Amino acid sequence: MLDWIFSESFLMNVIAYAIPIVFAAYASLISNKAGISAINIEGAMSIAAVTGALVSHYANSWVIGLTAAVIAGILMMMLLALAALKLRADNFLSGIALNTFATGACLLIVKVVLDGRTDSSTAPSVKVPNVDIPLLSDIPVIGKAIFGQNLLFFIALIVLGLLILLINRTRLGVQIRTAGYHPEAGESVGVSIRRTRTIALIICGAMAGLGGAYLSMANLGYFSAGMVSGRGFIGIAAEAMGAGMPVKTTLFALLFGAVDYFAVGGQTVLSFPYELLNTLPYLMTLLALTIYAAAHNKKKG
Amino acid sequence: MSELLCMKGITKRYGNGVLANEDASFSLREGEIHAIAGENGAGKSTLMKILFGAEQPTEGTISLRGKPVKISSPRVATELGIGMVYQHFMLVDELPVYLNVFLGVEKRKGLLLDKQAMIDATRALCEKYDMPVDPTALCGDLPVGLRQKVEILKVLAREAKIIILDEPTAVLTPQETEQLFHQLRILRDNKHTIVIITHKLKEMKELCDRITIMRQGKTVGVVDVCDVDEQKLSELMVGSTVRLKVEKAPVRAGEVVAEMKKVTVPGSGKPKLDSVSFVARAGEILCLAGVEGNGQQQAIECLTGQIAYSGSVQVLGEEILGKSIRKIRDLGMAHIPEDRMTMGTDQRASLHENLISVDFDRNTRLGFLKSKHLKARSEKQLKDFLVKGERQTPISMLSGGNMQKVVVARELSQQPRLVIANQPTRGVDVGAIAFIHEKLVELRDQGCGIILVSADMSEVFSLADRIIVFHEGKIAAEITDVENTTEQQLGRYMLGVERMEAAQ
Ligand SMILES: Nc1ncnc2c1ncn2[C@@H]1O[C@H](COP(=O)(O)OP(=O)(O)O)[C@@H](O)[C@H]1O
Ligand SMILES: [Mg+2]
Repeated sequence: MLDWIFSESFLMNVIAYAIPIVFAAYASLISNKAGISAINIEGAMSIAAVTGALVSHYANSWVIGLTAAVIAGILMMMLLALAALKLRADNFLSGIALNTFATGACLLIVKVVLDGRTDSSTAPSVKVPNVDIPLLSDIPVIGKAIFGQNLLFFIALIVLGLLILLINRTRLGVQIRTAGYHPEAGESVGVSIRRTRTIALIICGAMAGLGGAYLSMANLGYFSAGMVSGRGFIGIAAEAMGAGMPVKTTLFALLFGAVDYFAVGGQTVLSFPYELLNTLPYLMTLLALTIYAAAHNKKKG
Repeated sequence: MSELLCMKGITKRYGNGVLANEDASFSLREGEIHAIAGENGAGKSTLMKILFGAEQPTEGTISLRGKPVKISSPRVATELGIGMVYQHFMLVDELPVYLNVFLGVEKRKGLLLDKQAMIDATRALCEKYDMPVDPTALCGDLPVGLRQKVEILKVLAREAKIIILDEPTAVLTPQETEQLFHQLRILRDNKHTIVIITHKLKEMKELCDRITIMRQGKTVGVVDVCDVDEQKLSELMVGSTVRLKVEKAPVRAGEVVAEMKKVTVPGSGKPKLDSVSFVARAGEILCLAGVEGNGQQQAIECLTGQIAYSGSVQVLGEEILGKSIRKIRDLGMAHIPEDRMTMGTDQRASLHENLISVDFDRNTRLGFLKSKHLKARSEKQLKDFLVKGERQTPISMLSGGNMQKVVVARELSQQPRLVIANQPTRGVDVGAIAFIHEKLVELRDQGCGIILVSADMSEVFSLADRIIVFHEGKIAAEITDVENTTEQQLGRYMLGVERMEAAQ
């Protein structure tokens, strides 16, 4: 088992499993900073996954596919903005409703486009390429894992930098934090909270889009129903555990990624009982949601 | 002095039907300090929110320097040079002072914030107006007095010429109030025009040039401060002579209802409460006086079971160490807390829910609320305590005075044997003050023990049968002959100029 953990492919895979969780966590981070909970990150990711897979296939271009996935993610978040910000429906209930909607919509889309199938393996995605940085990727153990990753890993790193900059050093960042901490204070000086939260949700949607695209356009070469399987929620929990701090959030997302990989990798490498390992992601989601609820209550109370 | 601003025929009806302003008018002269006075609920805040664009008038016109203006939002008001410091601060605790000061008008260098420029500008303002605030401190770490300064800085950073302050002194200690007045005078000397909402007659006399008096949504008069005395002012405010003296029978102190023995509460550095001992008796109003932050708050928190202490605290004959607040209340203690917004009420709940919150679980049959009984009881309490509001009204809609009456109604209806009243009339209008005072005296006459904390001298003198003065965590004096003690004498004890030998 130790051999396995210290092998080059272990770290490589942990990162690979963590990427969608990282994006989900960033999505949660930016919306929470603005004082709105986007629990439909889960659903937005699956809509983005199906969109990215199909569009990349038919347009025969990963760039167009990825762009479409991001737009799909944003659109899903705009539905939340419409419900929770404009129509003032309950933030959580609208999120739950949108998740349910997404599950159904994804199935419907593949079924309609691909004649009754529940996955798009017959119409494989054009995958987002891997990047191999010469020399660096030759470093033993970590070389391949870090410098030979999928392009989306590098995008995640850039996003991390941009997020930190956005939150701490820009006017929009101050407005987003104000919207989260004390919206009335913002309104009193003419900062529109609805506008600020909508912008935060646009960014949130884009993140969820990237996370979903990774699943169907990089990790796997096609969309399959239920492929997000709680990663959106786990991302939300990673953000809660990271207390809204970008770097800490990223580290927790990586930790959750490791557990996720353990469940899958453990089956083949360690011959653990398959049924037991399969429960891991679900246990983790449960744990994650509990942590999230606890953190949320603490903030409120 | 020329007329700077004029509001005419302002009527405001809120969404819930409340007529907050009715044909009200208001005018300002350049460079004056102008007070708006009136009972709680008179519509002062509403009128000023309209001037600041935070509320839209149902009817009426506003003109600035002779030209009609439409102030459709705070942003427009800001552009017109009008700024407002709200009664409840609008600060983001998690952000540093300089970001709060420039919130919404952040200085930038390219795409990024220009932190240094904002810090420098904040510092420059602080120096100009003599406000000792550290621009880089987190707002949440600042005491109330300084938070208010940040609010004023915020307004100044937007280059406001007209500055509105909504009850700024309600949260301040006498010293902080002095300091604020000093800064407001500097502002006036720098050609700013200031509007200050206050109920305190003394402050109006001390600081202001003119006073606009409001009653029930209307402006009932504008007077030059030098033309009126305090008696006349209070008459104008409530429409009838205020009874400043509370009628009460001679004290008949009975058994001990609360006792502290050598109670110490540690603080950072000096203890907040330093081996304090005293007793409170039935049928007596014991006043814990002192300048804020001298230990009287901690004494109350000990008695009500909110903080840890060493020593012994007995309430109605029982040691309360380790007892839950519920248990302590069950002994027969009622508590009117200092902050009605956070502790005294649940702002999300209705009047009824707030009224039954302390004992609804005792009024059940088979696990269901006896709702008919409770509703009738609430109705009666609202009527008895003259609360202007319906049973179903969300409590957040009420004015401060009415909100406080709800708290008082709930607490005093529990047939308490000991009432702890912490600043029960702070920020409450003159009418409600008199009413709350009467209720407290009534209970005392029925043999209930009352412990009152108050920073208001006139309240202390009109209610107390006995006064214990706190200074730096210790008891500086115990005054039993309240009648023959002067305000000056009490002030000397409070400020630590003198202390009584017998005390501790
Ligand atoms: N946002 C609001 N919605 C409904 N009613 C309000 C609102 N704000 C104030 N009121 C009501 O309008 C009246 C005037 O309130 P306000 O202007 O705050 O008085 P003041 O500042 O003189 O105490 C009160 O009866 C109050 O309950
Ligand atoms: Mg008011």
